[in-house]
This record gives sequence, structure tokens and C-alpha cells, in this order.
Amino acid sequence: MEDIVSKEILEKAMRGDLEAFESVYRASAGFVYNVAFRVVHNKEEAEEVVQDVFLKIYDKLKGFRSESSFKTWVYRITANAAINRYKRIAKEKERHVEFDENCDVAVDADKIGMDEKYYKDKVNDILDKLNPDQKACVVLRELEGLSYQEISSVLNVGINTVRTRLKRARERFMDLNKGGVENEL
Amino acid sequence: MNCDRIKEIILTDYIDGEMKEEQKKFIDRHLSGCADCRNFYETVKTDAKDVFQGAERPELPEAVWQKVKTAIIEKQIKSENPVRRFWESLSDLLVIPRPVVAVATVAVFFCIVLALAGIKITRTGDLSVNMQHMVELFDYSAGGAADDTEENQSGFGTSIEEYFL
Repeated sequence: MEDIVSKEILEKAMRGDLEAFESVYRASAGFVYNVAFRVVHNKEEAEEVVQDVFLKIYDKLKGFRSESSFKTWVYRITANAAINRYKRIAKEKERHVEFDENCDVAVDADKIGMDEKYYKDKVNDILDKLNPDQKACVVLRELEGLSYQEISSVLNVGINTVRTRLKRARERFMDLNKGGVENEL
Repeated sequence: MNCDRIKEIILTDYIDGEMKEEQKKFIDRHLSGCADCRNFYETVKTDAKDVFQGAERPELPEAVWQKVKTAIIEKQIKSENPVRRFWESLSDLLVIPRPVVAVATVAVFFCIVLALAGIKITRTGDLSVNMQHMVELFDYSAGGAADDTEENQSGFGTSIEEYFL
């Protein structure tokens, strides 16, 4: 994977140079936010994922070994942070729904915490039909253009697992279209 | 290769261009002669690939960098504190490799288990000693009472009794 910043900038950032770290941020924040937002499907939560990711990068940068691609490393931190955040949100949603069911209040679980501006985004609508692992795979493949090998190193799974997740996700998309996406939403 | 297998490949490696040229040509040849697989390919392309074409990339607000920057500066200020730096360097010296920590944890766990088991055995021992003591006490009491009875029974030998008898 082609690296996003020069070795010199990276070394400066590793030594704690804030200006160099800002260059690292400018070069990578776009894809970090895209992955985070597509996985968690909530603008504010995705912004928090971005903050967490860059603070982690800043803390761990000294220990970064240049044998692996810096971009792969950033994607890995991002995917883990976004998947964990998604799972936490899902648990909270479940608790809300249980609570609301107990209170006899009708609530659409899919809409809790969802950002209105992006609610009509078809990409997020269909991504929401997947589990977080499949979602991360599809986002890295379709929106970030990573190869199977790259996805495999980012998610730390075998290539066949990447294939299986993509296959299941695509079968799901096709099923939804057969039944009509609108009915499912 | 049957159509089911071809469809599986279409769903992943073929549609994603992850195949070697020769393998791709093989699938291409199959598609040109198989209407069912060709339809399947078109459906995959429409439902699972094209839907992502031209997807907007959300714009990240500038405020996020300001928050990250502030948090980093706060961290730097904290790490510049000499007392904190001293403790951090001390904790760096005391860094123990993870496997050692794991082995030590297991060892401590076993020691605790053994110690608890020891206490239990000792307690059981104390209990058995106590129980023995109680049994002896009961035996003694019972024995005493029996002695009294015997004494009563053997009381027929007193002088006044002997006189009436």
C-alpha cells in the first residue's frame, strides 16, 4: 500500500513534532473519517472515532515499525475503533429499545442516534443491513479500493475470510433488491 | 467447473478483478456461452457494485483537528511536569515483558489457591481437634454420669442401708 506521508515527516512526527503530526492528520483524516462514518453511520460518533484514532496514533507512533505500511496501520486502528464503537452503539440501542418496549413507546431502532443529513444516503442504508465485520470489509473494498491482501492485513484475517465476508454481504444486497430495499427499510 | 462454482467466483474475485488474466479469460469464455451466469453477473454488478459508485465522502469538520491538537498539547504539558516525568521514567524501568507478567499471574493465582486450600485444611484440622475435644468432653460427662449412677447403684453398701437390709 502506497504511503501517505514521506518518511521524513513520519520520523519528525514520531519524535513528537506537532507540525509534522498535523501533516499526518491532513493526509489521513479523510479516509479515517470515511471508514468511521460508514461503519458507525453517525456523524458525531464518527468524529469521536477520528479523535480516538489520532490520539492513539500519536501515542503509539514511537512504537510504529516501518516494515509495515503506515497507511495499513492507520486503517487497522480505524477499523478496530469504528467496529468497537459500532458494537457499543448497538448495545446501547438494544437497551433503549428494551426500555421503550417496556414503556409501550413505538420506536424505530434503526433511527436511534442516526444523523438526519445522511439518513437518506443509499450507501449507508444498505450497509446497515450488514454486521460490522462485513461492513468494514465492504467499506474497505468498495469505498477505499483496497485489495483482498490489504483488507486481510488491515482486519488481521485470512484472505478467504475476506472473500467469505464480501460474498455474504453481496448475497445480502441481492436478496434485499429481490425483496425490494424499500420494504426492508 | 459448474455454474454454482462460477457464480461464487463472480461474486468475489471476478467482480473485484482479483484474478489472474488466464483465470479471468476462462470465466469470460463461460459467460459468453451461459445466459444464466451472465444474468447473475449483471445482477451482482448492479446490486452490489454500482451502488457504491460515486458515493460521497463525508467532510470532516476542522474542529476535530482542533480537539485532537488540544488533547495532544495537554498531554505534552503533563509529560513535561518533572514529577510526572520522574514517575514515568520509573515506571518505564519497571516495565515487565507480558509473558513474565502472565506467568507471574498464574503463579500468584496458584499460590492463593494453595494458601486457601491450606487454610481450609488447617481449619478442618482445628475442627476435627475441636470435635474430638467435644467428644471427649461428652464422654467424660457421660462417663461421670455413669459413674454417679454406678455410685448410686453401689450405694447399697453404705452403713445405714446395710443396717435396714
